[in-house]
Amino acid sequence: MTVTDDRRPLLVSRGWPQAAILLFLFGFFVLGFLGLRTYSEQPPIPISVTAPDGRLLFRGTDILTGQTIFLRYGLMEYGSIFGHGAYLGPDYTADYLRRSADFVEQSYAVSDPGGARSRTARDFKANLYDPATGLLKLTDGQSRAFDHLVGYYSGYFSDPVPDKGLRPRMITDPLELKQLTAFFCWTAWAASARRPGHEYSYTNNWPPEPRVDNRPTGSMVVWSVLSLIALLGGIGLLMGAFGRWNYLGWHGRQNVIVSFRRPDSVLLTPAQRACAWYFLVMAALFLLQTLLGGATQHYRAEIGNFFGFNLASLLPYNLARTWHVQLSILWVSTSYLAAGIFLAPLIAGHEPRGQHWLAYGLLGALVVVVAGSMTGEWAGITGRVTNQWFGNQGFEYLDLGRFWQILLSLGLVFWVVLLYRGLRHRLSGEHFGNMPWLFFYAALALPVFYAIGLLARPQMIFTSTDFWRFWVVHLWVEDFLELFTTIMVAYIFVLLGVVAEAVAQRVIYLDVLLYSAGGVIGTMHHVYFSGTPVEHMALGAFFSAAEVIPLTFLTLEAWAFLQLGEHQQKKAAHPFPHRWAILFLVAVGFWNFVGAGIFGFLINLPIVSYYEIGTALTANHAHAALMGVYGMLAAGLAIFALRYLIPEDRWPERAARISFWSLNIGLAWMVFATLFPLGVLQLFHAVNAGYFEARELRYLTTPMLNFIEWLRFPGDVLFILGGTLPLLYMTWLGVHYRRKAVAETAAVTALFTEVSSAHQAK
Amino acid sequence: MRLIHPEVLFAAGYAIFLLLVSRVLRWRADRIFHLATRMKATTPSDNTDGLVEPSWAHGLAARFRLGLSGVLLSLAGFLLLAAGWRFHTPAEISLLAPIAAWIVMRGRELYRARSSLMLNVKSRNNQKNPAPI
Repeated sequence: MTVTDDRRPLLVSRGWPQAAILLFLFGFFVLGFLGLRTYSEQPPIPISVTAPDGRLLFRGTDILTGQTIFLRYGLMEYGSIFGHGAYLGPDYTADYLRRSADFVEQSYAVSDPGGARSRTARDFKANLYDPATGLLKLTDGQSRAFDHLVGYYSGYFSDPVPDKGLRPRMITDPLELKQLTAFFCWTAWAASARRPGHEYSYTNNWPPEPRVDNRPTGSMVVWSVLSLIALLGGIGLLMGAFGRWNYLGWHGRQNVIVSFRRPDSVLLTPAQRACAWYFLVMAALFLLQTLLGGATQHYRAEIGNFFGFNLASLLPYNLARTWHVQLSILWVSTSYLAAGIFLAPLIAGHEPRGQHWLAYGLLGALVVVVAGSMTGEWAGITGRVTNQWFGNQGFEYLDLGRFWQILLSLGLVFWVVLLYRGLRHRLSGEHFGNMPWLFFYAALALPVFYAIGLLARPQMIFTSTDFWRFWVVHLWVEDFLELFTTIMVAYIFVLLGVVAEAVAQRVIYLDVLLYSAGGVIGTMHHVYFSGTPVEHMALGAFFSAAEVIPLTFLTLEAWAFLQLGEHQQKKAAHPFPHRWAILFLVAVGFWNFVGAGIFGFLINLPIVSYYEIGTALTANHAHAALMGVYGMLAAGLAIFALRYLIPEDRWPERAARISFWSLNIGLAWMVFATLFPLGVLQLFHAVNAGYFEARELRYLTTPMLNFIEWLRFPGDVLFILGGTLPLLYMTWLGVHYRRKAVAETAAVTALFTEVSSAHQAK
Repeated sequence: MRLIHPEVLFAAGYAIFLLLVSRVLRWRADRIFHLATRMKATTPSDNTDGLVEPSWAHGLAARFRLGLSGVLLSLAGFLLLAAGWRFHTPAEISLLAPIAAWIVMRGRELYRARSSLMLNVKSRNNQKNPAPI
């Protein structure tokens, strides 16, 4: 890494960036290798599937078309495939497998009651796919089961009675219904037929189904144990290192006493003022997301009735959940985009001319993408638009049409250009490993890794689409958003003058190191059972256990951040203005440990995931981690910026307090009243009675589970009314009363003034 | 016929679990607050002003945990009430009542802890920082 003389030298040891680059490359090298293995080892799509007498049941093209039908109608936001998707409907892999196995067993039982079960298992375990010809033969019983299940699913999806949360007569075309069943049949075949050369199926014997002899594999147990050992060993090493090395330089090294500027005295640039609109849009999207979340939740409590109103004909479950899930990413991203734009002039010290017009343009484009993609999702799910470009692409978290997905990726690229424009002068004077560049790299990673989601296409084999989908769901959200937020939070502390830049820089490098070591390869814990080979499970389990280590570490380090902040604040002439932003960070630390760490690890072990995937424990982790960490941080960043945008005399202290407590109490209630206990009961039921049974609507609507679903109600009401509405009110104040801007090129003031060094003060 | 309905057993078990988690949070809140006090008292002070008190950040973090502890305690109580309302044979009530009593005791302790923390934080605020927490 060469630098010109006029650049500021690297503030930390060269070992930090070198180690970060090496580990980063290692992580992606392994992930790339696993990507190759995904393509070479995924279950094949046969050219045609026939009965023993040669009768054509369906073609390979029917399977892939059936998959696009499944996605287009938003069924991944209702039920799941290979355990991935939503949790109200059944897992269609497990559903087809159980129903076809029962059909075959009953047909054998007529002539051989004693041997029916074992003959059925033999039929399903036998892999009659011929790679040379591309032909797959099903047994006579399996073939007749397919014909039978075409009828069953035809009745299921064309049902005129809205008692499942789906739109009445959702799919009525006989060809579409047959193709959809062909897709389910293929997933069930991949889930039961032995992988060539192995004693387990393509999906590592998932789902658990005794009727076809699907049981946990040895690898599943061994890698669960080894990942536990990795976690315990890693935590031990971490604690040892934490106690032994005061390496990051937290304690006692920050000897500068600062005085925080009153927010009113900090001059704003036009682009920073534009951020007020971003936060208003963010809060509106957040409110909409929570209302839709309330609707989806209500389906679980009262499936055929929304307080006396038939909601399914207007807002079916799969549409509500599609919007709920998409908006969760969109509102959080809106806040992060705004925070980046807001911080850029503070980092650079000035703002280029016309920056605010670009910021407004980006916001306009974002609104168009949100409105366009949501309309497309509605049109796709209701059958009005059938193409994947403007309709519903249908992958959970990547539901939006490809046109909107490309536009959103381009919008993120435009945002990076906007940041580069703002930071250009500062970047040119900095070493490539210093904080301004790290800020820029982290921002650059966001469009790059979001755009990788475009590699998941509805016409590809489900296994490889799922592999790429999790590059977005896990790598983009859990790693690169996490990295970007770590850098933003670190920068905020630096800008406030409470943490030295070198110290913050070390934390960022440590974050990169830890996430490269655990998070990148750990992505594979999502695809244990999606048709990938066993090494995905081995490496995914081992490295995802290691992901808990950085979470623990960063929680501990967050404390040191707070201590430093306090230390300076005590000496300040003015009250610390960011009390609520800091409290949101306290909440982020808590939920990071509980939601991402504990609840995440709870479902990460392969042997637990085997029974748990697609149950409420997944939703428990998702809510506690996504809302608890990214949501709280998005709200905290908004409040940080709003503190400068809203004049001092208009600052709504009470609204901030109500919003903070309502969001946190509401989330805790949601998690501990419903999602966690429900998940535990469902897991117990999956082990005890069967996975198919644990996912059945009949089980989900039993009185006890129904009562637990209703328990959420007070927490959800508090979350929506007390949490999101005051936040919306605050952002409205930000737009309505926002302070005047200074000239675009004027020097941006710092957020603090240095009073003296500590020994001088003494 | 069962002596105690499974839902009552579940409610009792889960309420105890919530009580324990609530205790852990309460313990963390205490520890955060008092550890900070002790650290201030024992750290050789070259740049403190001699006052022995926990930081505002620790006060906030402690309050956050106390708040969540209270939420879990309320939830445990709510669960027991609901279970008792639905199933109330003598055996079921005799299972639920001691846990409910335990919750009330913990609730009182928690309330006192919160009051004490608020008092501490307010007294420091009055001296150091006029802004409300």
